[in-house]
Amino acid sequence: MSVEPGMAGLLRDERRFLALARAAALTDLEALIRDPGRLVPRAQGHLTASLPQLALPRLRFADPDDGPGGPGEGKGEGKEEADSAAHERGAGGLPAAHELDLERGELAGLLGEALELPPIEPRPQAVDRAPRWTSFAAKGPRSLLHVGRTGRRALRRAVASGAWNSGDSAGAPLAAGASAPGDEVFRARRPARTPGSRALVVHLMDVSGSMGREQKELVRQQAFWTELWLRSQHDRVEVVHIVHDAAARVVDEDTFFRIREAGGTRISAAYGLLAEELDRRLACGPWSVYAFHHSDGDNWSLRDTRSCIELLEDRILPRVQQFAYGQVRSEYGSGQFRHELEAALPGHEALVVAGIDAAEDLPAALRAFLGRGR
Amino acid sequence: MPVELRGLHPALAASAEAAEQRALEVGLRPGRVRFQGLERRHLHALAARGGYPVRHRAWRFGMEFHRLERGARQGSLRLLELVTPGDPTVASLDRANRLPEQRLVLTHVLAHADLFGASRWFSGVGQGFLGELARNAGRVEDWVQEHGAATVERRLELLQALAELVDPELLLRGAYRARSSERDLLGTLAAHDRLAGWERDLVSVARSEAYGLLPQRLTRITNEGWASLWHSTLLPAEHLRSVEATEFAGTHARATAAAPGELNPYRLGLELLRHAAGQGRDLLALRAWHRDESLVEELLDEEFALESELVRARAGDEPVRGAWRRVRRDLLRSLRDGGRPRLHHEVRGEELVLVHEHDGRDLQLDEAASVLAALESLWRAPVHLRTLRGGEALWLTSRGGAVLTEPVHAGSPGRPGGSLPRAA
Repeated sequence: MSVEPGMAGLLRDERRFLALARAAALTDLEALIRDPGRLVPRAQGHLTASLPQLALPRLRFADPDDGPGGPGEGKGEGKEEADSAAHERGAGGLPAAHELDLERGELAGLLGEALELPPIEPRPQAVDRAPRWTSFAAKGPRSLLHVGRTGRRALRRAVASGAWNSGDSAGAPLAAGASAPGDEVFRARRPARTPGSRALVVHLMDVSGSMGREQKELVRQQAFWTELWLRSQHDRVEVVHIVHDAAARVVDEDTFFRIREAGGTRISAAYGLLAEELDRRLACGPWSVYAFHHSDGDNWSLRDTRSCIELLEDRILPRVQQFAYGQVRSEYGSGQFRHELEAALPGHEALVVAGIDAAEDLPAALRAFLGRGR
Repeated sequence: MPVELRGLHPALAASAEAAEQRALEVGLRPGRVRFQGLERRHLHALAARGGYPVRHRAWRFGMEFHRLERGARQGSLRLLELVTPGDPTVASLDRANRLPEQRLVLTHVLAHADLFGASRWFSGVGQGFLGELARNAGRVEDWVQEHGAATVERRLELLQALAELVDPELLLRGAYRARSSERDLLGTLAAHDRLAGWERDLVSVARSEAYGLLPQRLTRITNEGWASLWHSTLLPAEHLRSVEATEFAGTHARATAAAPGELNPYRLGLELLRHAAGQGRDLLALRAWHRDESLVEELLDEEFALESELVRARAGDEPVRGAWRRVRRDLLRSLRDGGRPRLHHEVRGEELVLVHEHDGRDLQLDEAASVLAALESLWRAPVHLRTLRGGEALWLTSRGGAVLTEPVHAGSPGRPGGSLPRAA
C-alpha cells in the first residue's frame, strides 16, 4: 500500500483549524490589546499573535507546578499529543502558546469585530494613486525617449521645412539623424487621482517632564490600534506627529515616542500648531482628519486652557472628523484639563474624551475613540 | 531485497543494503522496509496525521500541519524522518534533505522497524492498521453525509478526549479486538445500546485508533533509545568521510540533547540501553519485552543513577545516592500508562460512574469537568467521576449539562466509592 498523504482532506482540516483559531483570536483580542508583548510585527506587514493553544479538553494530570510531580514531567505533553513518530530537528517541543500569523487587514477586521466598531462611512474624495507613465514631456533621460513620436515630429519638421523628398521613406529624417533636440518626445508621469477616501491622522503628545515611559508606551499602543483601524477604513492615510511641552513642533514617528523634555505644559501651543497644520493641508483638498491628543492633563494655567478651548471650537473641531483626547495618569498630573474640556464642550459630536490609566483601559479607550464610525 | 527505495537518490541504495546487512549481522530483524522520498509538504501532511496517509477528518490534524509548515518556513523546524509501522515499515524522508543526512537515518529506521516487528506491544495491533485507518476515514465520511459535518466532528472531538480511557494491557496479543475491560471505557461505549448506532460506530473508530496508536506512546523511550543505540553503533567507518562524521555527530547530538532535568526519550533510552549492554544483558530480549515503564523499572539502578545527568538534575540539591529512588519513583509514575490517568468505570443503572485511581497526582479538574459534560451528552444520563483533590475525595457529576463538584459523603454502606450524589 502506498504511503502518500491525501492532501485535500488535510487542507480542509487546516481551513477548519484556521477558522477556529480566528474565532479564538476574536475572543482573546481585548487581552491581546492589553498585552502588547503578544503581538510581534513580521516582514511584509504581517503580524504574529500568540494566542492560547487551541486544545480539546481531556483527562490529564494537573500542571506539575501545582502538584507533587517532578520538574519537567509535564513538558513533553503537547508533543506527545501529535502521536507521531516524526523526528524533528531544531526547536523541540510545542510552544505553550499557539502563534497565528495575520495580515494587518485581518487584524483590523478582528479589532472591528471584537470592539464592535462601526465601519466608517466613506467620504469620496480625490486620492492620489501611484502615477502612470501615460504623459509626455520635452525633456527627459534617453531611456524614456518615445521613438515613434520623436520620429513623427522630425518628419513633420522635415516636410514643413522642405528638406524631405517624396521618394524618401518616412523614417528617413530619423535614420539620417536629422532629428533635432526640439523633436524629442519623452515619456512622462501623469499624476493619477481617483475617487477614494484619504485620512490625516495627527498624534499630539505631551512630552513634558511629568509624562513617563509607561504613559508613552500606552500612547504608542493606542496609536498602533487606531492607525490599524483607520488604515483599514480609508484608502490612504497620512500621519503627522506633534509633540509639545511649553512649545510645540512636528517630529517624525521615532522621535515622537522617544523624546522627553523637561519643560512645563502649554497645551495651546500644540493646538495652535495643529490648527496651522490643518490650514495648510486642507487648502489643497478635503481630508478626513483624526487628531489624538494625549496628556496627563496638567496644563500650565487656566488661561491657557481657555485658549485651547477657543482653538478647538473655532479652528479645529469644525474641520475634523474627530478629536480624541486621551488623558493618561501620571504621578504628577492633576488631570484638571479633562474636566475643563468636558465642562466647556459638553456633548460635542466631534470630541471624544477618555481616560487611559493603564493598559487595562485601552480597549475601552479604543471603543470610545473609534466607536462613532466617523 | 527486503529494503526498497522510492523517490530517493540512487546512491542511497548501496548504503541501505549495507546498513541492512550490518543490522542483520547483529541480530536485528527489520523485515520489509521501504524508504520513500517525499516533498516537504507531503512529509508534513503525513506527520500531521501521525505518520498515516489517510485519517478521518479532524481540525487537530490541520493544526499540526499548519504548525509544521510554519515552523519549516521560519527555519525553526525540520523533519529528518518519519516512520510508519506496518508491512512494509515505511520511512518517509524529506527529499530536499542532503544525502549525508539521509544516509544517517538508514540504520536508525532499520532499528525502529526491528522493534516494531519484535515488541510484544506492537504485535497485537497488526499490519493492517494502515488500512484500518483508511476504512475508518471512509466510515466517518459516510456518517458526515447522513448527520452533517458539525455533528460528527463534535462527537469525534469528544471521543478524542476519551481516547485516553483505554487499557494498555488489552494491547497484548491484540486482546482489545476480542474483549473489553473495566478500564476500557470506549469498549463499553461501543457496545452499549444507550448510544445510537452511528455513535457506536464512531466510538469503535476512535477505539481502534486509540489502541492502534498506543504502542508508540508506551514505547517512546524504548523505541528511540533502541534506534539511537544502533545508529550510533552500526554506522560504518567507510561511510564516515570526515564531512559526514561531523554531520552525523551534530545530528546525533541534537537528537539526544536535553536541558538539565528534561526528559529526552532518545537520550534516556540510549543511556539505559548502553547501561544494560555494559552489564552484559540480552538487548534483543529487552526490546521485545518492555514498554517504557517496565524498561526504566528494570534498568534504572543506583549505578545508572550516579552516572545520569537526568537523575542528578532531578535530585536537585539532594545527593544522588539518597535521592535516586525518589527520582526513579516519580519517573515511573509519570511513565505509567503512557502518562495518562488511570480510571475504571462501571454502569450503575442508567448512570455511568468513573473512578480515578489516584496515585498522588490530582486531575486537571476544569478539563475533567468539560470531558464529563461532553460524555453526558453522549451517554444521555448523568455521569460521575470520583477523584481526589488535595487528598479530599470528590464527586464530579454532570447532570443536565451542568457539572457539580461535591465531597464524597462519609459512611455510605456497601459501595467502595461512596454513595453517588443524587439530584437535589
